[in-house]
Amino acid sequence: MQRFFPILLTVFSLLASSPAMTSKNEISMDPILKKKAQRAIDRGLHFLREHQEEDGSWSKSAGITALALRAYLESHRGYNESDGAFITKPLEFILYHINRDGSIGESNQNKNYNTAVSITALQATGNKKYEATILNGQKFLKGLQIDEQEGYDREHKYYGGIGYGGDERPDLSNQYMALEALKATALDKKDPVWEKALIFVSRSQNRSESNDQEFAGNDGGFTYMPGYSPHGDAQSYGAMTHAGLISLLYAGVDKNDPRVQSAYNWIRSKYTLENNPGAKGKQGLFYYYNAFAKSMSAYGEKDFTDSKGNKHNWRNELTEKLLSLQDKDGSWVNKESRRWWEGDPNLVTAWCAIALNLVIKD
Amino acid sequence: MPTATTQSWSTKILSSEKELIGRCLLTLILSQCLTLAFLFHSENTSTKVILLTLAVSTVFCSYLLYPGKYFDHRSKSTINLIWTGLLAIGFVVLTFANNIQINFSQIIRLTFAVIIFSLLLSCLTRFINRLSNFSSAYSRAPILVFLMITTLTTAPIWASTWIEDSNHSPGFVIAISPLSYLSTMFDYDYLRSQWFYTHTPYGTLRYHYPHWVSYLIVYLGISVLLLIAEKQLKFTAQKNSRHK
Repeated sequence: MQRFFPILLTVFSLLASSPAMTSKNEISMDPILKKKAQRAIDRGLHFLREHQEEDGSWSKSAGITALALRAYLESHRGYNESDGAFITKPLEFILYHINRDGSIGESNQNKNYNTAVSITALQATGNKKYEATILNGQKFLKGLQIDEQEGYDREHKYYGGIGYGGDERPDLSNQYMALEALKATALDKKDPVWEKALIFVSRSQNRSESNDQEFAGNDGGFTYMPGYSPHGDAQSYGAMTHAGLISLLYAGVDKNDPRVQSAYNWIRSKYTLENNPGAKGKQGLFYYYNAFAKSMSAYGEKDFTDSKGNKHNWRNELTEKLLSLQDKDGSWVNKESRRWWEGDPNLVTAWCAIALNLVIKD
Repeated sequence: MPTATTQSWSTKILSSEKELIGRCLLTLILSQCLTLAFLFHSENTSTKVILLTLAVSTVFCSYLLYPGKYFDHRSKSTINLIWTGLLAIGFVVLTFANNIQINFSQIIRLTFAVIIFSLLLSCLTRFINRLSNFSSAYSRAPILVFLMITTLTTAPIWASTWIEDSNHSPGFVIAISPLSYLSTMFDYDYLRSQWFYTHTPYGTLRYHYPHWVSYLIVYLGISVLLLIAEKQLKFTAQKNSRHK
């Protein structure tokens, strides 16, 4: 027996360190944290319900209303239209703001964003009666893409990009919102919009091997738009790198593609949940958390190792961070920067609830 | 047989024709040149940027070249009407010449806006002239008006630091700028254009533009009020001089 003991020990230790065992030990989210995350979502949704306007909207904005609605529809409670007016009234509000061109929104601003999040929320209902509205929304979003129709050729740095919708100036943030909506609403994978989008996405990445623009750096991260970052020069930063990674994956780029790997390596090297890495102060912090949850979920790895060799269970860590930032009333808000509307608790709470919905989903 | 009065009136109109057409053409040529010069230095050459630049340049040049002071009071309203008509036609022609493909109703709206804005500037100049009793030959009113309008137009730029540092809504600063007035006419969110997004914080904040109809009413209303106030001042001044 004594002879066999070292052999048994070796076999056991080998089994314990095998990928299958590792993933079993580390992939699943801490069940206590999962429970806490569910409670945090419930508290966030409760806050939203208390702050819903008479007309069913949140902050009188179609975009914020759609995001809050999505938070409800995708939550572990499985809310749907049969649950009552708090779900049907925001849907009515969204439908009321459908414009002739297929866009959705209460004003001419943020047409892309509002339409994108609105059709995503409509899709999340699973109700077929919204199919025509979703198709029109898709058509509108595709029409915003900068291409030959607007007089831009493939060499132009704007080519393939999508912007706010009030101007022809595209950016990666709006692009990712539009691509997310097109993916969520199951746009044909062969549609030319994806191929054109990849041109713009690649030009927003600091990777000279795949970015033909002069300003392209080489850290693999993403910037707001080709050659510009609101945090200085063409600097890569967290929120946009996650947005870029999501855009690449949604556009059908393989996980092993060097562009995806470069972005992933940037994320590994700058990993933090204390701030939006590469950004000024706490600007865009909750946008970062939201994009982080989406990109990690889309990438599909349950845990990852940062460039220093430390392993992270991103679900546990993001949950802990969001729990620590939740206010007593159940809301989240960026108290240090109101840029990108993060001073609006309705928007930020919806973002955090959506992020946590993804986190607890296995 | 025309009377002596109508004869002199029509003669004046006819003799003014060349001056009017010349000034109008110069206004349009200068506007086009300013637009091209701006676009030459701009990265963003979207149709809406071109249109806004063209509208601003036209207002600016028409103010500089306004022919009003060359005509006496009797023919002034007719001259104004012809000038306005020529300017409106010229502006529409310029938008087509620049191959600006936007909704025709938006072009009409913008043309109205340009004309009303020019009218407002003209009324403001007359009012300041009357208020300050500037000599008509060496009036400083145009300079004052120019400074006022430039200050208002650039308000979203110079007030941006204050807006970002404070918790104030940017609504008022955005509303007072004539750039917003002109942009709303063709549904252009200029604060999210590349230059403004890069140099000011508005693109990242929540704001709303006033509705284009309310803008037109306000600009037209102010013009009418200034005109009435100027007439009232003139009347008071005449009354006082009669008493003396």
